[in-house]
Amino acid sequence: MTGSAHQMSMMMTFDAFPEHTLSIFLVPQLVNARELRQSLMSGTLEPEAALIDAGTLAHLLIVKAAAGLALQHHAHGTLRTKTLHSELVYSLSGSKHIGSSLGTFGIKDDTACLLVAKFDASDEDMDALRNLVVSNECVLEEEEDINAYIDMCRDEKAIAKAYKIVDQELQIGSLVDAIVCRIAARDCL
Amino acid sequence: MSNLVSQGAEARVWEVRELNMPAIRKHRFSKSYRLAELDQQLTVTRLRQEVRSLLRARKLGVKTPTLYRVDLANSNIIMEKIHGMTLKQALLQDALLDMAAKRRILKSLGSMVAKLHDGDIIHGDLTTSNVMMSGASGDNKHATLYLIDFGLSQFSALSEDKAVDLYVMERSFNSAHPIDGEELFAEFMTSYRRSSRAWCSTLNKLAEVRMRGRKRSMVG
Repeated sequence: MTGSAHQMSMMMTFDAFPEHTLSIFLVPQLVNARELRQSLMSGTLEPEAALIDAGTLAHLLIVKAAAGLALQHHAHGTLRTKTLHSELVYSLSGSKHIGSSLGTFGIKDDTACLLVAKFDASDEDMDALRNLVVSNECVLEEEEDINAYIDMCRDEKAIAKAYKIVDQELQIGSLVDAIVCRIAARDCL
Repeated sequence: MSNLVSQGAEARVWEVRELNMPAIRKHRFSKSYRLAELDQQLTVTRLRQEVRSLLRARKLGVKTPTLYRVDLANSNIIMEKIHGMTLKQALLQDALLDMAAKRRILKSLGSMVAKLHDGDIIHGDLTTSNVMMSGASGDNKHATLYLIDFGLSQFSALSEDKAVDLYVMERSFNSAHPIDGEELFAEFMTSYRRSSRAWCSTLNKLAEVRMRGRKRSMVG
């Protein structure tokens, strides 16, 4: 069952980059992960978008922080990956290593829950993206629904491990705090 | 709209919004008296060190503001805005904290700096202006301390460097808080000693460092 047309996806805005927006929807129970991933790898995915494995996300704020960093590099002309959208996926990791970052946070063959994000998207863009995904459930478009789903599905231990977050750090702040710090600090390490 | 919060020798701090939350932007401005290439290099180096130290401090369990975004090209660090006041301001406000509360706070600060030093991080500017306190009201049981401004920080295992860090703190207590400064610093040191692994060599060095300094005779 794919999402119906003319729905409004969640749209993120950025205090530091008011000219840009990020439209997002969440696909629970994704069926065609392999197909999508192959299409992405072969460069035939249209329109261009970030395909994020939602199981790696602690909170939508992480996506916002990564998007802000990607937009910053885009503005300076210092993107480390091919596109702004691949840069978003890369920036989720807090690590400088591009390959493993994309591999961990991007869509995998067995991705069950997918977050689709597109910068400065038109309604037609989002409709087209919705039509590309095949799921057993309805696509989630509202911020509260998406956050609630992420809350429900997240594996905190696995996420902490992926970011190499230690216990001491979780005592002085939340998991999300620790991740946002790493995303922000990446280029200084 | 941004508001200028403070201006120091090295940076200006602006109140902004980031990630849809109240935040501050610290901008390290260029010094025109420096050679342009050196100035740029120095600014970036200091900024990177500040960020690295902040991250390392958190990994040691030392509370700092959360980093939101770092813009090296424009020498900006955007981080969490701490709602509260500096420890310096809190200690100077007469009726705000009773002695018991002050002791609790200094005890907490002592163990924070001990953790920092045990992790070989030298803050570089340990003063009561660089400690933020939030939630200080009522009986102050839940006051939370944050270490801020790691702009002059370094990584070092040397007792000498840790001792100098402590000495700066001692001087800041004695000058900014002349009445109970000595007692407060003593409270801080008791806690530091208790929490630190390498306190012994550091304290020995501190005794040496005290003997140096300005207007101290180095004779005999």
